[in-house]
Amino acid sequence: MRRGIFKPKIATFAYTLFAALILSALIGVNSAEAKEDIVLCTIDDLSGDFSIMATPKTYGYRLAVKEVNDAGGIMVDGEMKMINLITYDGQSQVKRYQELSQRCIFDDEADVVMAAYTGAEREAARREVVRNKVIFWHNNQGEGGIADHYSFFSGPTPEQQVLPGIKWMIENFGPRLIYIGADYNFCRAIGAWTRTAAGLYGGSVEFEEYFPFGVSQWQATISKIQKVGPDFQVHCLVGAEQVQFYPQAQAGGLSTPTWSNVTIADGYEHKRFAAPTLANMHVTPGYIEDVPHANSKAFVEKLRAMFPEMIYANEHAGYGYVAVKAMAGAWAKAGTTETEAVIAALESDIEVPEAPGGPWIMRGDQHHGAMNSYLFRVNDDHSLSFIEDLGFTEPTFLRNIGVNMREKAPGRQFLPPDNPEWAGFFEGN
Amino acid sequence: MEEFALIFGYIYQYLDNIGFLILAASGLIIIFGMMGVINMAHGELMMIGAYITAFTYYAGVPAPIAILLAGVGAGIAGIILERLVIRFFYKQLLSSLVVTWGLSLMFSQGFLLIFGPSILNIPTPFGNFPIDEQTFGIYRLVLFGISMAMIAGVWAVFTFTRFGTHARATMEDPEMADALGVNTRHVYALTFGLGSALGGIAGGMFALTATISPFFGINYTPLAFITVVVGGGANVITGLLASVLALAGSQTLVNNLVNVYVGYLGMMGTALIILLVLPRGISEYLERRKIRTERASGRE
Repeated sequence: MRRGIFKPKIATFAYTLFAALILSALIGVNSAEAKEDIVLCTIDDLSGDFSIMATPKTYGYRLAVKEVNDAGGIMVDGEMKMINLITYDGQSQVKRYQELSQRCIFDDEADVVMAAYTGAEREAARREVVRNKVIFWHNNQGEGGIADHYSFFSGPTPEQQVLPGIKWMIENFGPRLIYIGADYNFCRAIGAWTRTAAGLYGGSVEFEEYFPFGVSQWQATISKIQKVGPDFQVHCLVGAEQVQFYPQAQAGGLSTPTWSNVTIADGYEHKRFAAPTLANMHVTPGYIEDVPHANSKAFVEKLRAMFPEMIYANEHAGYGYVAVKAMAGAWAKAGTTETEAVIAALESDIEVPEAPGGPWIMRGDQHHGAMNSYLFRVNDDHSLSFIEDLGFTEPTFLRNIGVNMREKAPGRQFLPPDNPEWAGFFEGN
Repeated sequence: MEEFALIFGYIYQYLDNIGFLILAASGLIIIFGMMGVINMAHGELMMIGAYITAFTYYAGVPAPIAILLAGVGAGIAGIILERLVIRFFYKQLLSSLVVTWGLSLMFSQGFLLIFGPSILNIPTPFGNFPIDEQTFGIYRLVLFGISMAMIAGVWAVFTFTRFGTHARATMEDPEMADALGVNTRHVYALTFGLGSALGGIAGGMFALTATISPFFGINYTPLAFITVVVGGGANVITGLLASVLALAGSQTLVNNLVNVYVGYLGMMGTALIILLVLPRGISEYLERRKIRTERASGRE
């Protein structure tokens, strides 16, 4: 009798528990699949040393999201959905990027994470994001060569900036160059690309030196450069402290022509330092406010209207915008936010014709964009002279070493020494 | 001629590094060295000085006056801070550390919200002069000269003025000073204000050569502390001078022998070794030696 009563009770309890579990699982699946909107999670340095460079990127994100949402959103899973933009401040600290990436993935259930200014921040965030099989975008000019299934890059690569830039400098100023840069993965890679360019176009690297972030005393380096007396300098100085090189060099009388792909394009130093501090600097951005393309004018007008406090529309503002537009196109094409379907759509050479630097195409086998780049010189009064359109360049570095990510992504980064044809440029280093 | 340019280059870099450290530390020797307040917001007081200099300069004020106004502005900010916050945390090292660190965050984030991530800096004046094939900026030497003048000024104020005597008495024994008729409240506020003003002037000087951003101060605070701690509290001015001679010396030497990266490590290594051997700083050692020699000569 006792047993009889007890048994149904335990059975009921077990059934209830089982039903509850199934129900909660269903609800869970349901809520994950039918979220009300598409979640775009971004992490950028809104404070700290890199906020000068990274803040305009968030303007680009916000403008693109506004345009998509104002147009009614994106048709996915049978209904029009809005993009929900979540913005975190990475505070210019690498360790924040790992924590905040986890928050994007697990708390916000992001459909895509776009993060980081420096390459060090990028790798902290990217590892976390791709490990959890979520799509990741880095929207700077970068060192290129990252071949990963989940990682996409909207900004120019060294093929679009370093190679044509250094070639032009060698042709116009002479072959002898020196290289100084911040001591981290990006500038080390740009150093390798500079050696490659020197090897390809008959230049010689007289010396190459790297400095920790936060170095702000440059007299020893200025003296060293003057002693070498190069035809031109190549710089990869990153952060508000390192760019103090420029006023010190100018006051110290060092005025050799210089090329950089971070100065001006990232930090709009010509707007932050009194003229003529940056005079004779040459830059090859894929986009900055001064790019003479009809798209650029419209883009800057919209951006200024929305963010009147913006000092200058830098390269990041442009590529933050491009990345959101590319994702919007991919979601619409895939008709879903399911990761593999969206990656397939991105790999189908998705285009952003309204990109501010001129039409932009994601090359699906490369996960990098094909785009225009432009050569400018900074004048004594800090206006920019447009010198020439470097043309529409395909990203071919990974293709040339046999990577096709539509078929198989190696999940690693390649650098110039990995290209057997270029290995000779690095012997003895 | 070539050797001369080389040697001059080293001396120039040495003076430049000395000037940089003294300017960064000049306000802190008063606030930390004398008053014992771990002021983590020292760099932000310098940042305020840099902003005041830039705003007044672009409003038409000549640069030297703009820098003096930065001193006045930062000094007033310091006095307000002292009255509202700092005075509750004297003799509480850890509390003052946390409180001033909080203040530094509030200042930098507040400036970021109000003025954005950066403002236009001021052109570096005076040009340069050539020696052999190298050229050297004059402003860096001016920075060195002003840093020396500031140290001399601090020494004169604390040695020869009535305020200096009162301040030293107050820092030594506040109750006794109070009993003897010194208004210690005023002395504390003014001393903190003077330290802040020196920070503001240093910030204004750097505004002519650096990026002006809300995070301007972050670079200076740690170096300022290292310099003052290595110098020690027994005699802050001789301590500071000995400390910068050693730190800037090792930095300049290693910069040129190896590279700038190792140069920074060399400076930190020198600070570490000095503090291992002389945990209370160089000036404590110098004072002890002085007393010992005095006693020895007294016995004869």
